[in-house]
Amino acid sequence: MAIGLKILAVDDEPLVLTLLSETLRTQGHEVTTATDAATAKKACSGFDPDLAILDVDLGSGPDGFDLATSLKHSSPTLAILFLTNVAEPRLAGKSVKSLPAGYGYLLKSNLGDSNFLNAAIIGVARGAGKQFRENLESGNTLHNLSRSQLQVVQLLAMGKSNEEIAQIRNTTIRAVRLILVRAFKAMGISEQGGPERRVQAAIQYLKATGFSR
Amino acid sequence: MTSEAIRSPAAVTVLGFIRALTEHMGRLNLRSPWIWGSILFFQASSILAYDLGSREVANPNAVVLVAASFIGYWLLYPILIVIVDAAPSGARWGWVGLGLLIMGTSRGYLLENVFTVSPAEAWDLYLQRLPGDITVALITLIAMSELMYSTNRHLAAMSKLTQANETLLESRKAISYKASSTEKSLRKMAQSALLGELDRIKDHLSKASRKEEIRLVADEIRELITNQVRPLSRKLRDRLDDLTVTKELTVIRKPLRFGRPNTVHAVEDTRVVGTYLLAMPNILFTINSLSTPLVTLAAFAASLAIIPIGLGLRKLVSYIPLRSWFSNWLAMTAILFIAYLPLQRTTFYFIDGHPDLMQVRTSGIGVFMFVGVSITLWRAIERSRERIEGELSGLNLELTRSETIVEQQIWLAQKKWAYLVHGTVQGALTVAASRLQLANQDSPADVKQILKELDKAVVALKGDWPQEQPFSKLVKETQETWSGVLSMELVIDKSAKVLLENSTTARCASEIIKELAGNAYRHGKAKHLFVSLGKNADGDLWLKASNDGAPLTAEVNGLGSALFTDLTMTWSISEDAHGVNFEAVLPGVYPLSESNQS
Repeated sequence: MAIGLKILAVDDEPLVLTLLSETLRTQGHEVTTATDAATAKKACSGFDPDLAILDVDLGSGPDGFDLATSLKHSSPTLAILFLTNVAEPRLAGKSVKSLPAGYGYLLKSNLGDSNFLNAAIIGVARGAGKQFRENLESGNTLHNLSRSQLQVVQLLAMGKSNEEIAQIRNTTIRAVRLILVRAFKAMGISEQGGPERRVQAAIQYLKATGFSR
Repeated sequence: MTSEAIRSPAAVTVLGFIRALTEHMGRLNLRSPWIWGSILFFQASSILAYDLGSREVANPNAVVLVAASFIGYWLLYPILIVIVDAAPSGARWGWVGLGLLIMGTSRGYLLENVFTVSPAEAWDLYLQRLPGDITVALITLIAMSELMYSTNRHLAAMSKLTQANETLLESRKAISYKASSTEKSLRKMAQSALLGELDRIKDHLSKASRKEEIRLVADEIRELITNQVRPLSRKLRDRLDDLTVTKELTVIRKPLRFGRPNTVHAVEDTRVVGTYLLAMPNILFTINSLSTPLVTLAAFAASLAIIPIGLGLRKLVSYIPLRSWFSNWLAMTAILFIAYLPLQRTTFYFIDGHPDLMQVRTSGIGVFMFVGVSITLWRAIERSRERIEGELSGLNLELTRSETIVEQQIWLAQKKWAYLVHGTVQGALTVAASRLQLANQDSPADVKQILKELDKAVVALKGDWPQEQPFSKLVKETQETWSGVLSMELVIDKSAKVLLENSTTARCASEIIKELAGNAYRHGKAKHLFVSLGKNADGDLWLKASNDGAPLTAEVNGLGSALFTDLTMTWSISEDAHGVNFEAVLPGVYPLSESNQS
């Protein structure tokens, strides 16, 4: 049975936004759109949506995570579904703990599967967002990394030295080395690799995420 | 030597002075020609001026004895080096001091035999001269240790300065390299990787009619995203890494002059108190060995006149403009000579009863001169080092500024790249692929529409980089996003407005504010954020922010701090009773014109 929801769709790419709103309307939802966080915030107060579909990267302004936090504060019952190219929130430098409760997280590649997208929208609106969260695939080597290991590998892929990473994380170089050794092991990088291990880790990271943000 | 004479921080107290002295003595390099050359010179001059210059030779084997005193000393010298090398670092100063003292003073016995044929009498004379010899050895040791220590510090500062010069040049080169080529070449790279592929897909799509063919085009687009668009990031990383590689650098080495005495003001050349405290014990011991304690006491009383006379003359000299090193040294010699006159006069008062006191006339001046010259040289070297360190500090600031500018440029290039390739291009491709996929399910694909969408990717690749928004607009967007959650107050000092007209500075400052706003609410549940911006004395932009949120958590060390590190020269976070405070300095001086950056 089709459920018509009021949906706020936010994406800085007009093409994506057009396709998304077309698809949602076809599914019987009422849609309003915004291309940046500030416009979305204003639109939300007038439209009073049931659910917000947010891209993570919204250009030079605040990102989708900031927007979600702000929207959720103003409208606590609002359901949030992220629709993005960023493989998982941790890769955008955000702790999952800091995201609004009940959020859903899908990749934009799902745009072509309108039935699944609709099921996800309804599921998230009903509070079952946890069932619609895409993480790094289990076959991906980054999948095995802890939060701190992932963060250190991310900094490594950004071209930081151990000293710089230690400075950023306010820890010792020795601690960074230890985290990296464990991260390399979890990523299946040979212990004999020497300095090459760093390069391999950076390549694996960029391959999985597309970009070091 | 007093704390006035040694200005190292550790020398403020007597204990500190002793600690500094033993540390410097322990670092004395006995192999250095400066050290053994100084000892040799001092030995030769003291024999000529003090021993042979004013005393009558009595021993027919005088030449042999003098030669033996030299040869014995210099045969023992290498053995002392071996012992000192083997000693633990903390005990080196003891071996150096003891070794040079024993070797230096034991020569005195051989030399006293030159002036008498009786070994017993020579021994008595030796005991008399021993205190004077000990003080001379100590003076020499202290002077050499301090001079050597200052010299080493000076050389280290010079080396750092040269390094800083080189790094600064590399950094400047990296900036201009980046400005001229990075963004253009990034776009070229994206164009060469994607434009051909997009044309091929468009061609396939316009020819596709059957469902299977359309499905194949959708797969092609997805493959393009996976195999071409994403790997571009790796290429970007390599390209950005090139920024840190410097090619064909011309290193300009500044000629640095070492310890020029004319950099020292004449007043400092004539450190009367330091000179007096170092030289006077030796002179008084010598007088005592050549006369009686009463004469020594009288000489001591007279010697105190050196302080008021010396200080008065110093003050007088400070009014005379003395520029050349010769003038400075001349002033020092004149002051020492005049200040020494009351002591001379008193000594000569007793000369009838103690004719040997005649020796003090020359040896006293010699000791004063040696100490005065040592202090002047030491001060000249220190002054030169201080100047170098001042220059180094300035260079370091410039270096930090340049490095931050490079980091900002790299960060901005990454952002623009992400916006273009992973935003616009990947977005258009995702939409095109999705439309094809959706068409398979519901209705025939609108090929014209999809071709238009692919064209948008082509246009984005061929067009200009997106224009940066002005600072006010960027911050307003953050303020509006957080409205009703976190109230943001922004105060911009007039002086900062010019700096914020630079698009790089504006974007970086707004990114920091954006991060601060998110952190203030997310981690501290703050309700108010106050941000102020201004220009500091160095011409850089300072940014201060405070919120009324809860105290800091471990999240402070997350990726937000990586952003702050990349975009600022310095940053810090602290907390007080009212909430959390943030301070940062962003480079405010840009060597590149705005036109170079777009």
